[in-house]
Amino acid sequence: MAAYSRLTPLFIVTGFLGSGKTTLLNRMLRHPALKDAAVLVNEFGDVGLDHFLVEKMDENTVLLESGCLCCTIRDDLKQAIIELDGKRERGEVPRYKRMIIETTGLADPSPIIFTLNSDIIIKHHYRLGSIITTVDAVNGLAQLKRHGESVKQASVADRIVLTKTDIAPPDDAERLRTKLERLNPSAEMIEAVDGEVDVKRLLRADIYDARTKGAEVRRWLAAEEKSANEPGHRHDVNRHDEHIYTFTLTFDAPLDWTAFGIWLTMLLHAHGEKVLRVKGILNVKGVAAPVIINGVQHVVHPPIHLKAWPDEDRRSRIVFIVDYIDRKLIERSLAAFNAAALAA
Amino acid sequence: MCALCGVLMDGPHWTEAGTDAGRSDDAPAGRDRYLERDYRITLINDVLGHYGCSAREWAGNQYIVQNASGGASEVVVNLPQVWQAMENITRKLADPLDAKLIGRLEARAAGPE
Repeated sequence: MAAYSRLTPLFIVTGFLGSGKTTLLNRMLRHPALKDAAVLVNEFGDVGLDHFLVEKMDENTVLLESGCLCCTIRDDLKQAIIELDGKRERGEVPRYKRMIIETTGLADPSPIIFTLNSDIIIKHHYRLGSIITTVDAVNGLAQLKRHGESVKQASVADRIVLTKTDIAPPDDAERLRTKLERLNPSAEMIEAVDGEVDVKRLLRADIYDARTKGAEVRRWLAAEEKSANEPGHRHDVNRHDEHIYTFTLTFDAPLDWTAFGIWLTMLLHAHGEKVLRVKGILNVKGVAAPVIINGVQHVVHPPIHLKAWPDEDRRSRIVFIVDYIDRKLIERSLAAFNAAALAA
Repeated sequence: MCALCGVLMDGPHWTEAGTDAGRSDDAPAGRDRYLERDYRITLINDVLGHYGCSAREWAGNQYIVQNASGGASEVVVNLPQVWQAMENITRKLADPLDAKLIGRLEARAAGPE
């Protein structure tokens, strides 16, 4: 199988109803970098039909009987990717280099991520690029308060595109930005101005690209550092979801990788639906360079190895976005698993 | 809890790819695979012991999870399945946030008094 970074990257575009997701998608497809991208949409009317390769997914979700909601297979998505892949292999469609998947406005993105991770054909030819979430500056604050899907979409994002900032009251836009930065400090915030957005910023430097992962991790760590140092960071949780909050665990001493895997799999087994995001840089005992861990609910992506530390800071830092789980308990639990391993 | 998250995955689980991750372009060399498996089983048993069961290696790439009394057992292939098997066998919840489990591991780390 090809090295992970050489697989075809998938970009997921998500965002709440009316947040400008379709507008963004159309803007993206006009960019020269995406003229060779395949696009999977929910409705043909959503994107310009003059784009060279657009396929529609038929709504077909398989809810696995004893599974949990986030471990739903989007069979429509799976079949669409597999069919397109087959056509690409046989030369029936042009050899696209990227694929963009549009979600519906109310979509919980977790089933998509789970689906991408669950099929052997998809895993052997595709990798996650970025998750791009649009948030509307006019309605975003209210949506985050009232709709769990909106919070989830923002939690899993690698890039957040703020739309309609030109028509939103400036205070609202600023409060929204602050709330999003606190919810998901590692997501890059990009503004769409008059519907225009820097498409290159959306596509570049994803964490799985071997050429750019170092720079992406540096950016993400700097953003988290800034967010953690803001006054009131720990106490200012958003109101709808005062039970959904973000924290960073820091460990000075190296972590035992085996113990970490045992701990995280057990945590996600027991609480995966409530662990919206785990993302961290780990100092692993016996390994000179850091390991990046990135998970969305039950799905943990292949760990990434950097060639070197991005800076002098050698601490492990793990960001959690959780729903109703005690931060201190998570911290104590991981520390206990790690300490027991070191004593083994 | 998700019974299926371990079942549907194929290929080495991310935890068993060691620090090589199995799919990274430039991973550092990991621990020898068999030593790693032995070590993993030791640590898993630290946890399973709390619930009255244990795991052992089988066929080089699987685990047998078994009740301490030697009764019910299950063959599984990765860590998520270990936790599910433990629950099937013991009817207890596998939860790392269980304060008693945490206390047990902390005591182990502190060593004999």
